[in-house]
Amino acid sequence: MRKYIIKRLIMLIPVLLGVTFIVFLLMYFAPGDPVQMLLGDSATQAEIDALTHELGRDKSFWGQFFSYVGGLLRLDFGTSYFTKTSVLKEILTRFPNTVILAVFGCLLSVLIGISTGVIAAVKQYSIFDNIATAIALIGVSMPSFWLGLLLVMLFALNLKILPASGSYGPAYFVMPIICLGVNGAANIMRTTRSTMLETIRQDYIRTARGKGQTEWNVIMHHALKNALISIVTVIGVLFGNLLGVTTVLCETVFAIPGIGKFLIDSIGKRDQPCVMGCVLFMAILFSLVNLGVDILYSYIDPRIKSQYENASKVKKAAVKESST
Amino acid sequence: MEDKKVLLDIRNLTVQYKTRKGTVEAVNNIDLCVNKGETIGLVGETGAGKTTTALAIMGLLPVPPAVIPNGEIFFDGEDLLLKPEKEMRKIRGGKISMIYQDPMTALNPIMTVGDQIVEMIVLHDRCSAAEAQTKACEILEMVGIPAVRFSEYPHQFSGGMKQRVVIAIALACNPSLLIADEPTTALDVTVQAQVMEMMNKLKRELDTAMILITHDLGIVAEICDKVAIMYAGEIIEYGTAEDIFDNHRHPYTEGLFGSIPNLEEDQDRLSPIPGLMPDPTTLPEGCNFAERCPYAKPECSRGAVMTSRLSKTHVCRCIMAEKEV
Repeated sequence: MRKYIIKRLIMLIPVLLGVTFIVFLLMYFAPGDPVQMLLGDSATQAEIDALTHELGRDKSFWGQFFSYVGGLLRLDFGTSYFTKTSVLKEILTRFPNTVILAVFGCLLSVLIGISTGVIAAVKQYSIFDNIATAIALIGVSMPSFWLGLLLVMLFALNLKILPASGSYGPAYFVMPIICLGVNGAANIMRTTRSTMLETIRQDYIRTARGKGQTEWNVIMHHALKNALISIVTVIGVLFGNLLGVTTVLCETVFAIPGIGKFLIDSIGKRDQPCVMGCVLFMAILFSLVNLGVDILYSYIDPRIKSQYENASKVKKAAVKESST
Repeated sequence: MEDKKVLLDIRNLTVQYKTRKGTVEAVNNIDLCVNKGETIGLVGETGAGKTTTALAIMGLLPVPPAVIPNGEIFFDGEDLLLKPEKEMRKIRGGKISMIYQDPMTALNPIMTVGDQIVEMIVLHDRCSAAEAQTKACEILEMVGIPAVRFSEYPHQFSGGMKQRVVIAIALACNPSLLIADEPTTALDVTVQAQVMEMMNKLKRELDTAMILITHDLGIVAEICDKVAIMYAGEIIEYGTAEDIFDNHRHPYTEGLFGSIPNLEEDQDRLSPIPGLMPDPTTLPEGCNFAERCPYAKPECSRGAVMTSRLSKTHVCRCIMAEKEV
C-alpha cells in the first residue's frame, strides 16, 4: 500500500509538468501585456523595454519556460508583477478562505445528499422520492453563481439577515457555503439514489434480510457500505472541484478573498506568475484529493485493497524470477 | 416415532407478481406439508415457481410487485403470513433459514465471511460477541473450511467454498426448517457431490427438516423422503420418493424421467418434453400441461383439474390419474 502511494506521488510530477506547460503556453499567447498595464498609457518605449527586461519577458518562450520550471524546482513560484510579494505567500494567505468554503460546502453536500439519496432509494416512487429527485434535477442544472445571486437577493436584499459580500466573519460564509452545498448535494443525492437502488436489489441484501436483520441495519450496514464506492468517487470529484473551479465562481460572486478570486483577478491583470501559481496549486490539490479517494476505496472495498497488494506481489515475484 | 409431527403446512397458497405487462401467476393454489426432520424435494423447470414458494415461506417476497391473494403458511401451528414483521425477523434465520441459489452473489463482498456468520448468531442467540465468534469458527470447521480463514473476504474463496459459507450461515442457529434453493446448481459436479453429502450429514446431525429445491432428479433420489413436482405454479404430483420414482402418474413427471439419458443404451439424442412452459401471465384454462401432453384430450382444457388422491401419500393433478390405475 505504501509503495502504491509513493508511486502515485511520483506520477504527479509529469502531470504537473504538463499542466505547467499548457498554462504557460496559454498565458504566453494570451493577448494583453502586463508591462503596459503596470506602466500605464503614458510610459515611454524605453521604460517599457526596461521593465520587460526586468521581468524577464524579453526572453524566448523556451527561455522563459525553463527559467520558470527551474524556479519551481527550488519551490520558487515567482513574485507577483503588481504587488511584488511572493506568489506562494499570496496563495497561502488566501488558502484558508477557500478551504473553509470547500470543506463546509462538501460537508453540507454529503450530509444532505447521502441522507436524501438513501431515503429516496428505499422509498422509491414515493412522494418523497419524486419531490427529492425533482429538486435534485433543478440543483444540478442550476449554475452556482446564479443560485448565489438569487440567495443574495433573498437573504441580503429582502430579508436583510445575511451580509451580501466580503469576509469579515462567519456570517459572511453562510451564503457561499449554501450555494456550493446545493449543487453538490444534488449531485451526491442522484448518485446515492441510483447506486442504492442497484445495491438493494443484490442477492446479499436478501441474504441479510433472510438472517432476520433489521431493515435499518440491512440498509445502513449492508447496502450503503457497498454503495459507498460510487458515492465516494462523486464526493472526491466534487471536493476537488470545490477546491478549484466551483469556488472560483462562488468567491467572485460573494467577493470572498480565496484562491479562486485571486486567480480571476490575476488573469485580468495578466499577472503571469500568480496565474501559474494558482493553477499549479489547484492541480496539486486536485491530484492529492484523487489519491486520497483511491486510498479510501481500499478501506471500503477489500477487493480493491487486495488488487493493490497483489500488483506489487506479482511484480516482486517477476523481479525475483528474472534475477535468478 | 415423533417425526410425524407437522412442521410446515402450506394451504392453498397463491403468489402473483403484478407488473405493467399483466399479472404473473407464479404460484397457484399449492398445498405442501413438511414434517419434522423430513426432506422434501421441490422439482420443476426454471420458472415453475419453486423459488417464489421458498421466498413466500421466508416472507422475503419483493413487495411490490408480489402479492399473496390467498393462502396460509402454518409453521409450528402459526400462520406466518399474519405475523408482524418484528416476529417474522425472529423466525427468519432463527427457525427457518435459506440457502440461496447463487453463492457468488449471496455473500456481502465487503464483509469477512466470519462476520457474516457472526451476524446471524448475534441476531438469534443470546450470547456475547466472543462466544458468537467461537461458534462461527466451529460452524466454519463443520462445513469444512479451516477456522483460520474466518477473517477472509468472499472474493478469496472459490465457488464451492462460498457455497459452504452460505450453508454455514444458514445452519448457524440450528433452524428447524432449512430451505435449500438449488444449492448445487452453481457448482461443478465433484463439488456438488461434496456439498450434498455435507448437507445430508448436517441434516442428520441437527435433525433439520429441509425443502430442497432442485431440477436434479439424481439428488432428489439420494436424499429426499418426499417429492413435489411443480409445473407452471402448481404442484402437479406429490408423494413419497418411491411414489414418484417408481409409480409416477402425471404425464409431465413421466416426461421428466423420460428426458434423463439412459446410460445402458446407446443414445444419440436426448428426448426432451416438446414445447415450452405456458406464459405465466396468461395461463390456459384447465390443465396447464395439456398443450405439451402426449395424452391430452379435449376435456383437459375444459375447467379446472382437481387433484386426485391415489394413495395415502400420493397425489396427482391429472384427470387421467385415477383411470390408469
